[in-house]
Amino acid sequence: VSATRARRVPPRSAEVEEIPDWECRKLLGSERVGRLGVVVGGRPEIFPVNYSLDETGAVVFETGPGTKLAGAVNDRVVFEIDHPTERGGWSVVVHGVAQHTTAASLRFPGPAHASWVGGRPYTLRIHPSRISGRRLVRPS
Amino acid sequence: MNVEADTGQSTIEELDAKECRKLLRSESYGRVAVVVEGQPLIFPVNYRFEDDAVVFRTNRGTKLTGAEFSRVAFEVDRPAANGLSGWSVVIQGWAYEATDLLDTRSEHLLRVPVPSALRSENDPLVEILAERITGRRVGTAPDADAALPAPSVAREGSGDLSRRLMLRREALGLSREAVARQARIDPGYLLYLERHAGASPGEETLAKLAGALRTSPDALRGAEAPEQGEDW
Repeated sequence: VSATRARRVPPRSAEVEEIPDWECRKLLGSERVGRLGVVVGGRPEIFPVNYSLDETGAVVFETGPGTKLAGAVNDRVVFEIDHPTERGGWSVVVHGVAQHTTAASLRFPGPAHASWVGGRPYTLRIHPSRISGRRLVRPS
Repeated sequence: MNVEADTGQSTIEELDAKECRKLLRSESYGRVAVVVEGQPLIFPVNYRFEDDAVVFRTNRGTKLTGAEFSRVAFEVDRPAANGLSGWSVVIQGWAYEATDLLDTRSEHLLRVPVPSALRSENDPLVEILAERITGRRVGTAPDADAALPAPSVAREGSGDLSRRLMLRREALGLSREAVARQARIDPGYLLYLERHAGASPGEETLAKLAGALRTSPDALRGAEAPEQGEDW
């Protein structure tokens, strides 16, 4: 950074807009990898996971038994997807409780949901208690 | 192909520290996870990896501003379009507001241009001190392109307090948590002291640390030769 860099603050170059619920749900169907946030021993942990949506719109992903993710069963978790672009991007965050499920009827029956976590599949489901989304809009 | 992948054929390769750092430097967009009132939260940030720390700007008044040290996790990933392969790097560490601290390292970080579409230079700068960095590559073999850049050189200023703290602790075989517990200071603050060569803790803190490290404050300050029999 040059020492002569102006100290004046440039005008903010982007704005944030809320994404309505219906569109958040649509965006959830557009991605294949998201990040799960859990609390383990009071500490935040974050894991990328492959996921699908089931018929009710719940987020479904697989993990191996005995993993930290499997320890998140019946806990409050957060799930995030995003899509950064040159001009801004968007992110959607789902809050809910992770529950073990055996018979998930997937809306997107994709392969190898467990590819990012490894281990034998152990299916967890997050029924959203709250969904929020933000879009970064940069004026052209 | 899809069916085969379903039988658990995906390969997972753990990435070493050098590779993780290279990947952290190669990206500028990641996600921070924090715990607020027992609840996990995730938010995306534009960041820069500098001096072995993730730095980003945030809103004033959020959980991460103020001088508090908060436990955070930070994640960066790059999945392939089909989502079945790619890599991810996760940092476990402590976040604090660099804007509030007066030491040479924080001053340096404050001058680092952090990319952000939303934030201005007046917004608080948050630094994440990494305690543990892990990474994995999923699905595909490692790409052999791009020779690794030179590893970041550890800041070993001649005889600074931060280095002596760390060397003494390691010589005693003590974990950071153990020393912090005994000195009754925040483990995040101890990590900060070990990483920031210019940091200067108060007399009381230094005395407590010296006690926990079974040495004297002067020895930690470098004002006195190590006692006989000390191996550091």
